[in-house]
Amino acid sequence: MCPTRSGMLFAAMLEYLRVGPQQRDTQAGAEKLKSRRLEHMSRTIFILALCMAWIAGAPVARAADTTKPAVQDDGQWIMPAKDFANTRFSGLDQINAENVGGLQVAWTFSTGVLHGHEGAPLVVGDTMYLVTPYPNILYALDLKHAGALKWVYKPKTARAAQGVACCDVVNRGAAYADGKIYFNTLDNHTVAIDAKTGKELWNTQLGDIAKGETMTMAPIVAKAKVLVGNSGGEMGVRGWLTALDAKTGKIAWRAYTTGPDKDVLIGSDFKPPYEKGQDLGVQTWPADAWKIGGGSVWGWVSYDPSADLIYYGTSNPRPWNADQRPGDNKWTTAIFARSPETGMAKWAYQLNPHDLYDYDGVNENVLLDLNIDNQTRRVLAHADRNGFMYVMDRLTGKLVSAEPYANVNVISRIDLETGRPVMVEAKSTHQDKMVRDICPAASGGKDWQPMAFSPETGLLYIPHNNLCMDMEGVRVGYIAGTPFVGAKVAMKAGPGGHRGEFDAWDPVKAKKVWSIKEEFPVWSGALVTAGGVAFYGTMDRWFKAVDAKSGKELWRFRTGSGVIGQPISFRGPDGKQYIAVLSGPGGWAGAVVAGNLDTKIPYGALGFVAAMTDLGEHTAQGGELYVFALPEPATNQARGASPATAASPAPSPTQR
Amino acid sequence: MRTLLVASAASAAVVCILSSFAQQTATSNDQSAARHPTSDQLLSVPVGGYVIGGAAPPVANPYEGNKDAIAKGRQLFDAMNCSGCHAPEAGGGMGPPLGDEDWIYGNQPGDIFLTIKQGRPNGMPSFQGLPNDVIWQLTAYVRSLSANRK
Repeated sequence: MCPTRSGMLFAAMLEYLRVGPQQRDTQAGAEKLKSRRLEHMSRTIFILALCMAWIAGAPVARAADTTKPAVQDDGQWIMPAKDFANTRFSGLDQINAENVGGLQVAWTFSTGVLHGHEGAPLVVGDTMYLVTPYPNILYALDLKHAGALKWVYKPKTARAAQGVACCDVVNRGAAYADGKIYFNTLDNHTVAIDAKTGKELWNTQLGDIAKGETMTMAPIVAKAKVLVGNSGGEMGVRGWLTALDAKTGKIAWRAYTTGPDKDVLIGSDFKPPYEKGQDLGVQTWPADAWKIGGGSVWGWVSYDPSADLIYYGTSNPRPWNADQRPGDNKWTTAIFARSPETGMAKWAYQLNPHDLYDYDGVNENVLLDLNIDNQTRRVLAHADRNGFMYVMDRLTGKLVSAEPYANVNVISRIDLETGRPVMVEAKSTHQDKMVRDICPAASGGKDWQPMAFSPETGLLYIPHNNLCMDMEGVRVGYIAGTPFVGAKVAMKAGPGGHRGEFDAWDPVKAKKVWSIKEEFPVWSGALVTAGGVAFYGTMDRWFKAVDAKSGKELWRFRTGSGVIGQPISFRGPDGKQYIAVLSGPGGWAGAVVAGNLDTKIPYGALGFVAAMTDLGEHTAQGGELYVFALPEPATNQARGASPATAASPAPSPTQR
Repeated sequence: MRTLLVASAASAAVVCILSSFAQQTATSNDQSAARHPTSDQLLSVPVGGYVIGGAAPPVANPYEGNKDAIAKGRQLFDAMNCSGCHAPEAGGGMGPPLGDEDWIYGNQPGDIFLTIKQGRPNGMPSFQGLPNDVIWQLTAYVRSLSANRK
C-alpha cells in the first residue's frame, strides 16, 4: 500500500507523460505540468505521512535474545502471572475493542493429555512453552512455524501421585529465567530445563507422595532463587515455601507455615501488623497438631524488587473439622511477606484465624501503587476465599480496605483495627452439626483462578465463583498418606442461581464496577490488554473477549472443551499480536467430569459434585492449546488458510 | 524421629480399631473363618478380566450380603479414611466413585479384595497391613453400594 521510491518515480513519470509533449512546451502546458506535479507531490507527501504514522504505530518484529528476556517486554510472557507484580496485563494493543470481533484461530496444539488444564503457556522469543497436567510433559513449540514441535521433555512422574492430588492432577505452569524453564511435577520434583535444547539441567526432589505431598503450583524466579511450594493441605502435610538456587537446584532455605519461629523463619526483623507473641505457629494449636496442620503453599507468589519482598499465602489448616484443632492455627490462611534472599519473614497476616470453611489464603497478591486519599499507597490486592477483597499496605501488612466482592454470610465485616474477621456465630461449623447455606462455599468467593489488573482502566478483572454449601464436621483420624479432612460437604449455587461471575472491581473505591454472570464457576484465569479488552474462559466451552471499560461482550469462541486455563498474549515473530489459552476442564470445580464422579451422590470432590452435576451435559474432557490472531488483510491471505471459524463476534457482515 | 513417633501412634491407632472389628466378627461368624478364600485362590483372580486357558472358579466373599459385615464395612470405610479419597458414601473425589457401574479394576469380590490389599498403579494405596477379614468386610460394603442402586 505504501509507495516505494521507484513507484513514486514511476508515478511522477506517468504524470509528466500525461501532459502531452505539445502542451509541455507551451506556457499553459508548463503551468499545468507544474500544478499537476505540485498536486502529485503533495498527495505523495500526504500518503507518505500516513504510511509513516502507520509504520510507527504498528508493532515491529524483534529478534529477541532468548538468553536475556526483559521482564517488561510486552511481546513475551515469561511467567504465568506476566510480571512480578502479577498483573496479567499485556501492553500490546494491536488487538483492541474495535477489531477483536474478528479474532480467529491461527493454530492449535493437542497436549495429548486429559484432565484439568489450569496452566499458562509461556512465550520467550520465538518459542512457546507449556506444561501439561499429569504426567507434566513440557512442550516447546516453534512460533515461526505455527506451533511446530521443537522438543519435548517428559519427566518420569510417578503414577501413584495421581492418588494423592486432592483436586485433579493439574499444573499451573512453568517459569522462565536465564535460559532455563523451571516447573514442578506432581510427584514433588522441581526441574530446570535448558530452554533451547530441552535438556534437563537439574532435578530436585522436595517432597514425598507417601506423606500425601504433591506439587501443582507455578514457580517464580526472584533474585536467582526458584521459589516453590507444596500441595497437600487436605492430606495433613506440613506446608512450606522453599527457595532453590536457580543454577544448581540446591535448597537455599525453607520456610514452614507452622511450628516454632525458627522453622517459620521468623526472627528479630519480623513486624506483624496485628499479632504479638513468640512461636505462634505452635502456641495456637493443640499439642503437636501443627506437625500435620496443613498450611501448604500451592498458589501464587509475587515479588516487589524495590521493597525486596516476596508475597504468598498459605492454605487452610487440617482437618476441615475445626473442633479437632482449637486455637487460631497460625500461620495457616495467612499472607507472608519475606526476603527472597534469606526467607526471613518481614510480616505475616492471618486472614481466617481458626478457619472453619477451607478458606485457603493462597490466592494471588497483585502488587499495585494506588492513589488512595490523595496519597500514593504501595499496596497489594488480594481477593480471598472468604469473599472479601483486601487492599493492604504491602510494606507493613496493615489493612487499607476489605470489602466483599462475592456473596458472604459467614463474616459480617473485617475489623480494620484488629485485622480480624467478625464471624457470624450461626454459620460456625462444628463436628456432628449440619450447617446449611454457608456462603461462600469452601471453594470461596474465588479460588486459585487469578485476576488481572489494567493500569489503563485502573480496574481488577476477577474470575470467580457464586457458590454456597451445607457442611458437617466429622471426626477423622490421621493416617499418613490419606486425606485428613473430616467433613461432609455439599455445594450449591449462590444467591441469583448463577454459579460464576466475571467482574470488574475498582480497588481504590473498593466497589464492583460491572459484573457478568455465568452458568458455571469462572474457573479460568483473566487477561487484560492495552487494547482495552479482557479475556476469560468458561467451563461450558466459551472463550470470551469483553470491553475492559464496560464489560460488553465483544467476541466469543466455542472451544472443544471447557476452559480453566490462564489466557496470555504475545507478539509473534511476524509482529502480530496473539492470544493463547488452554482448554481442558477439570480442577476441583471440574472434578465431576475429569474424574467421572457419581453425580447421584452430592459429597464427591469435597462437595463440589453437588453443584456441578450438569457439567457433563456441557463438556467432556479435552486438552487443546488455542492460539488466536486477527486475520490477514483481505489482499494478503495467509498461505491457503481460509478464515472458517466457529467464532461469533459482534456484528460483522463478513462473518459466516 | 518425630515422623516415626507419629507413624507409630497412627499405626497403633489403626491396630486398635482393627482388632475391635476383627474380634466382633470372629465371635459372631465363626464359620466364616473356614470359608475364607485361600492365598492360592486369591492369586488366581484374573484382575484384568482376561484369561488364557481355563479360568479358576471365582472367589467368593464370605460376607457377601451379610448385613452385619456391611455395617462394619461402612464404619471401616470412614475409619480407614476410604471416604477421604472416595468421598462420603463413595461418590468419588481423589479416588473414583464406587457405587456406579464403571469399574476400573473389576467388581467381583476377588477383584475388590485385591485392589484394597495390593493397591493399584494409578494412586490406590495398598492396605496390606489390614487383616483379610477386615478387607472382606470392606468388600461387602463396597459391593453393597451398587447393589443398593439397582
